[in-house]
Amino acid sequence: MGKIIELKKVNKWFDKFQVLKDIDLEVAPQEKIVICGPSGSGKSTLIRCINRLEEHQEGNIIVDGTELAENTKNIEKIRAEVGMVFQQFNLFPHLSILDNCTLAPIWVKKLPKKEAEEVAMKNLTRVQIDDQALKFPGQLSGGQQQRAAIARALCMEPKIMLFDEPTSALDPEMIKEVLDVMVDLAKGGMTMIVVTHEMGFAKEVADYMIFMDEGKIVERAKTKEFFENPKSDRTKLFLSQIL
Amino acid sequence: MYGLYPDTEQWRINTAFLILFAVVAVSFFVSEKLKKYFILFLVFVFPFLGIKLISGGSFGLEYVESAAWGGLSLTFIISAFAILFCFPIGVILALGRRSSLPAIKYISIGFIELWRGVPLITVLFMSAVMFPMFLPDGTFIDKLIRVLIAITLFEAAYMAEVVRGGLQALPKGQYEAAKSLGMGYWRMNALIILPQALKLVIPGIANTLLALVKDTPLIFVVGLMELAGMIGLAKTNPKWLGMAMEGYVFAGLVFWIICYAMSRYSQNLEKKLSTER
Repeated sequence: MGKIIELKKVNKWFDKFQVLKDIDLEVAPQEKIVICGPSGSGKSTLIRCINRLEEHQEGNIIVDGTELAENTKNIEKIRAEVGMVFQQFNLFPHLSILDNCTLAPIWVKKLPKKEAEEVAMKNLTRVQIDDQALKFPGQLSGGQQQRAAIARALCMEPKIMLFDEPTSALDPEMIKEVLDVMVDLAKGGMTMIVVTHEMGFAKEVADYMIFMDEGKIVERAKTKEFFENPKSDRTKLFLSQIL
Repeated sequence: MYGLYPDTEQWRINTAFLILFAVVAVSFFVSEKLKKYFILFLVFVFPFLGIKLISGGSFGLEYVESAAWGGLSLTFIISAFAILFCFPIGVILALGRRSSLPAIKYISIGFIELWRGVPLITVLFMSAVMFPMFLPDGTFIDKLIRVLIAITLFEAAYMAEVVRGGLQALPKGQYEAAKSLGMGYWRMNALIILPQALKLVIPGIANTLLALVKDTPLIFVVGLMELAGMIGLAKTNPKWLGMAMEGYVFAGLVFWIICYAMSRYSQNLEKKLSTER
């Protein structure tokens, strides 16, 4: 199978502090990868590099056959193909949920308004908040907002979805409704890279687990093997603390 | 009301303002869709139409030089033009100051700090007295236009800082979300960032624009007489001797009415645009 994301020897610094050290990573289409690790290990930075919300200084990142480099047009093209869901939802508060979902398809993909609204309603139905379409983000609960954010990303019909700790800012009882949507998405065959501490979710959907610490990929293994038989001591320690 | 504008031609000012009021009044009653065209007309067509009507010089209208313009109509003309143009320039400067391109950033900073650091009176003197000296012989820019440009740029610098305050108040996540959906710089700013930032700073914008209206009397220093200046002139007229107090109270009242109306409008706008966060 071909690769849809390829990272080769990626290095990144914030000033003098090295956040990513020689990261190699390959993702095939439809693969689901969960990245975990202690805070400050560079996992968020890593997925933010994949749609270039952060710049890497060394190495190559190739997404869907296009190398991420200075060229702005390339970056915009890749961002349109890569959906991202943030910890803080980042819905646009001045627009209704429906407008949140149709804005980018209309202005970036140049979809006619009517068609964009159909796509939006389809995706809002999929995340089960179609009845909230005309409300504003401030009127929704955290779980609903995060589902709306997922729908917004899906409206661009991305090939890849990145999740940056999507449930970390949610109340415990709202986590499940968001995870359910993500499981549904995974079963639909989406390529997903998820940074999360939800190990139950990881066990259910992930093909591969990646454990990061201090900017390095410490362990990369099939999900079952990762949980039952981790190789490195650092992974064992981490797992013993969160499970 | 009309200053030194020739009595026989005063209907032209009347017509210009009548058209303005008529268009504004009608625009309150038409549907949202038509309203867009009314606003476009008011912003892009009417100012030039109005000026042409008042200054004349073609279509069989007698030319009236701008030195003869004055009174309340001049107050309106200067305020309206300065507000109209200082706003977009201010927004562009604010974006420029936050640009990642060093050249644009430093030009914006230089421009803002230069205009902000100079008193308006100095700017007016420069535009009226000094500036023509630097022009090559034979070229001539009307004094009113020079003064208008000066006020506009002066206020644009203030506007830029107000808008920048709004830009900085937005969480970084809004920029990232817009980018992650594939929006480029212009779309991101036009669709996501500015609508939110401008809404946040409506009180600050209203503040700046009110100050602008109240600064218009300063143009008397270069010999242009708007409402307050006209009263200063009228009180020396033998017929109005001893009426200075009444005149100035009247001027104060008129300014208060204008400013209070603007302030109410900004409050309404704030209410209308507020969406729960």
